[in-house]
Amino acid sequence: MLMPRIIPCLDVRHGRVVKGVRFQELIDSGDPVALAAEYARDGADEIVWLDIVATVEDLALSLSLIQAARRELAIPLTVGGGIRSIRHVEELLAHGADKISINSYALQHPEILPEIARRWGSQCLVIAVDAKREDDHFQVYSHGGRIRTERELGQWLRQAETLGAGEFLLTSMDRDGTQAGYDLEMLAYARQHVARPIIASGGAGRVQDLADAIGHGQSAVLLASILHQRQITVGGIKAELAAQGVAVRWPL
Amino acid sequence: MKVAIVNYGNGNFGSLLAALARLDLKPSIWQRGSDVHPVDLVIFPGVGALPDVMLALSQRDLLVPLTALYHADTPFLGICLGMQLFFAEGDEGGRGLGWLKGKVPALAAPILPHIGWNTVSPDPTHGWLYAGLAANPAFYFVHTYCVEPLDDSLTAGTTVYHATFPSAVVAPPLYGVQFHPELSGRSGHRLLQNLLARIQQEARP
Repeated sequence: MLMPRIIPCLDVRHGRVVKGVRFQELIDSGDPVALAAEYARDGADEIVWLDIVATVEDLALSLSLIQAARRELAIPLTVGGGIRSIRHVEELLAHGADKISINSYALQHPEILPEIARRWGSQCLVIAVDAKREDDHFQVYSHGGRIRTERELGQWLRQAETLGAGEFLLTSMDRDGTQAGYDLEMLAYARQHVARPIIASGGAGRVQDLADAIGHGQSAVLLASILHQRQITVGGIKAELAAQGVAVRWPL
Repeated sequence: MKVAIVNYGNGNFGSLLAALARLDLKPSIWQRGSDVHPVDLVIFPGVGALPDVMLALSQRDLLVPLTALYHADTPFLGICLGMQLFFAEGDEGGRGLGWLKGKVPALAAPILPHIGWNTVSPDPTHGWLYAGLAANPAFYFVHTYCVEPLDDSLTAGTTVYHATFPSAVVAPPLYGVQFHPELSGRSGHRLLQNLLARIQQEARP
């Protein structure tokens, strides 16, 4: 039986984990390699590492940290953030990422997606999408939520799937960092458009939020602030889910 | 123990190298036919697509020397696509090595790839593979295709994702797993230990 994936997310800048509320107000939450290893020991099913790489120095630091994380981790590692070239993808995979996640660049240059899928297989291509409710629909934003694109959510998901996306990481900008629960309506809407796994992101605040998402058929949920603020551990979450009768990988 | 990884793609097997390092193994990486030499275990990693990989094996002159090793009873571990390679026919139109009889059909499921941790029901006749693990241990899967051996008795474990499929195959000297032990935490580590112990034991005269 396929068990839902509980996936801690590390937002990394200049080698440190940061977390914002609604894409703003960044708070330093620690060393990413140590934190990733701790989450894995605690029962994380996978790690997502979003690194904001802006300069050449950032890239070198990022690659060395990813390599260090790889040595520690015996679970899948997805790395994204600022990917703008095939060369960058190559470097990330060579330093131990199992999958790469692309967001803004895919919106501007969708033609990179089939190239990645062809070279490494669509299983290693995660498309991250940030979307926000607008009147009667969901609009896609890029650049960490700063730029409104012309794309509607369902249309973009479908296009990305056709271009080779193996998986989606869908963040609700309305819920991100609020700990008010996942946007189940947006997730249900996304599900109607694609036949690829979708990782739910944005809004996890209590174990019940995860149980609700899983109960609505979500097979993967992302967690960030709830963990970084040390409100609860991954093991604590899994024990509580297991006690509620949700089949999770627990005990390890 | 001498181990080799066949690099038939873009070399995306950092996690496999890390897992082998945790077992104190430093594999050689084979890029072309001239790299091939006698070893205790050859690993086919789980990256790429069947037709591309077959093409790469042939273009890199790996097909003939690898087949010779197989006929000399060298153990092979196929991971994910690596296991699919052992078989003859693929749904994608490609053909595998044909060392085992069977097919490589696509999974029948509404959401693909099958990604995540799923449990394996061990076949009791192959209990050694799962020594020290839970009754139905969980491993990490990511795949769209599976294998369908002609001979059922090769199946060493099964997994359910909408339908039941073989998740481990034992046909010495060929060993295959549909999941990724290198991404499967302690369970994956232990399964690799069990497999290495078995191979060393069988190598003894």
